[in-house]
Parts: sequence; structure tokens; C-alpha cells
Amino acid sequence: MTDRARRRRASKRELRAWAWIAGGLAFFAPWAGLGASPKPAVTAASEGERPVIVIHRITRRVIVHEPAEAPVTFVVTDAAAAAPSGRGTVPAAPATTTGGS
Amino acid sequence: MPSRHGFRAMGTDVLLIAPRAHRRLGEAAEEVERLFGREERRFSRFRPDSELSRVNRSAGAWTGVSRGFADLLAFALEAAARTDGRFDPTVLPAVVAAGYDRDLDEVPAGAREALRPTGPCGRWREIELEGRRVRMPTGVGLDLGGVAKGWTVDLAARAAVELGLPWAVVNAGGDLRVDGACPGIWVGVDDPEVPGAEVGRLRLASGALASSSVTRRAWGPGLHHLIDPATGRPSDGRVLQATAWAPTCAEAEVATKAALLEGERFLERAPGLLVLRGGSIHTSFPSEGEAAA
Repeated sequence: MTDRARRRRASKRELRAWAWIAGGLAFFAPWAGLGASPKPAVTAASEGERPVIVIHRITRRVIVHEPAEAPVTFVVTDAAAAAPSGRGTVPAAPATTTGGS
Repeated sequence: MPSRHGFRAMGTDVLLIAPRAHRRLGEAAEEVERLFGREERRFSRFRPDSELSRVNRSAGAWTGVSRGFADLLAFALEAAARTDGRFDPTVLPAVVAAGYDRDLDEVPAGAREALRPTGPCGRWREIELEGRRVRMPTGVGLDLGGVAKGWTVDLAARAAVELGLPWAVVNAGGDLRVDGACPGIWVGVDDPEVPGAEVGRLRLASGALASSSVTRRAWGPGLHHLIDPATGRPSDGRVLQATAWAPTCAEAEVATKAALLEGERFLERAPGLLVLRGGSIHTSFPSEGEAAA
């Protein structure tokens, strides 16, 4: 082997260093791409506090007491839907409502 | 599909429902509006020139009142005695102390953080009514808001039928009366916790329905217009909303106040529907299936 050929041969330590550098570049390349890509415009509103949506789920349980004498009859409806289901005699919308004032 | 005529009075939406395109409908609608205007001018606590404000300002002295005023006051005092004070027409100082001292549209939500100190009500027993003269005890104020609304609903429904409508329904903010030969109407019962939803439907052929809810006319946590006369503070019981039936709307209004404070015990003696905290619904109305059977 000539002197010139011996100079070109890298040491194990050099090879390991180059391998780490190549691996690191490969690992960070996607993030660099994302970082360099254009971002959507940030509005003042979206920088503020995020809206919190609280979902309350209410389970209604109907307890029927001894019926009193009155020219009134009661039909349970779906609390979430505001319209009774599966009851052919009940119209889709009531003529009026009561609910406290 | 019946005809409907709506307008605003007594701080709420008023609706007249009547047979479709009846020739007396326009005249009846005008009369209903006129009656609401007249009774509002008489019983509003927010109008300094109302008869009620004049009576409250004259506490301690005898004051002459109109026949309509004397009739409703007599009814209210009798109702207070019959409900053992659960319905109390003298809760005005307590309502004002709770923050409801002006028209609700002007009471900003959350603006009244603390209640001013107040005590039990119950001084309706000291009111003296002789014919068309009344003497209020000093330091007592009348608030006939809810019952005056029911009273006016009764007057308006009767007037509409007397003008020639075969039947009429008048609904003022959920207090409604059916008068005449009505074929029956469906009334949705609002969900007190879910705006726009209902907890059930009532089919009503005659008489009246009224509802009281602690989630309406409220302006802060635990602050609403329904006063427990025993404490003088907004009621904090288990009932969120009470609906009651009675032959007249004024009676139904009184019944809802009793139901709100009594809870399920009320249903042992009267037709009604209660929505309790925690989600359960108690009712003594016959169910549609039972009625058909």
C-alpha cells in the first residue's frame, strides 16, 4: 500500500463521528422542513384563551304519583330532542309552552 | 292550525291562540292587549304611577283602591291563608333585597353578589282590606307580580270568548288559560336546565296551567325571584321547576308557589309536575296512555 492510499483511509473514530453526524441530520431533517414551511396567519382571537365547551348530560327519570283528577294528560318527551318520538298522536311541535317565569 | 297573536306586556311574551281566521279574532286580540295594558298599569311595581306603587307608598294609612285591585288583593290574602303562607303577597322587601329592584331586563346578571340582610315574610296577616279601602302595615310592600299575571290571563281568555270566539287560549310567559269549547291543545313543558328542550307534553282541554322555575328570572348563583317566605331568601329547595293545573290561572299561579316549597307532598293533593335537582321528574298528571285506556 502506498503512502497516498494510507492517508485516505479514515480511522474508526472518524468513521463513527461521520456516522453520528449523518444520523443526526437524517433525524432532524423533517423538523427542519416543517420549521421552514410557511405558517397560517395567527389572529388575535386565536391567541387568546381557548373556548371551553362543557357538556352536561342530564338523565331524566319520571316518577308517576297517584294521578290527580284533572283534564290534563302527560306524555314524556326526549329532553334532548324537544320532540316526542314514536307517539303518533303527539304533534311534532306543541301549540304553546309553559316553563316558569 | 289555529291563529296566533303575540305581543309583549308585564315583562313577558303574551300569546293569544284562537280558532283559525275567526271573524272576531282581530277584535278579541285588541281586547286582550287592552286588558293586559290596563292591569299592568294597575299592578306593576316598576311603575311609580301604578295603583300598587301608590298603595305601597301609603303604608300605615287607609287608601282607596279600584274594584279590580280590591278583588285581586282579597284573592291573594285568601290564597296566603289557604297555603299557610307558602304563597305570600308581601315578599316585596325580600325580592328587592335579593337584587330584583327594577325590571329584569335592567338587572345585570351577576351584579348583585350579596344579599342584603332580610328576615322572614308573612306580614300579609296584618293587611287590612275593607271593601275598596286598604291599609298596609308600615314596612310591608305588596308584590302581586305573578298572581296579577295569572289573574289577567283569566280576564283576557274570558273576554276573548265573550267577544264571540268559540274558544281561546291566553299564555303569558308560561301561565296559560283555556276558555270556551277548546278541542284540546298540546303544551310543551320547558326543560329548566336545557334551553330549547322540553321534559314532556301536556294535553290540556280546559282550565289553566302555570309554572314557576328557579332558573328563570335569575341574575346570579342562587339569586332568583322565587322567595321562600319562611326565610325571606330565594328558595334553595330540591325543586327546580313546578307546573300546576287549576281551574283558573290565578289559582294555578298560587299552586306553583306552594309546589315549589312543598316538593313531592304537593302532588299527593293536586295535579302537577315537578322537575327536581338531579334530573328526576315527579308528576301526578294522568299519563296519555292511562287516559286513553
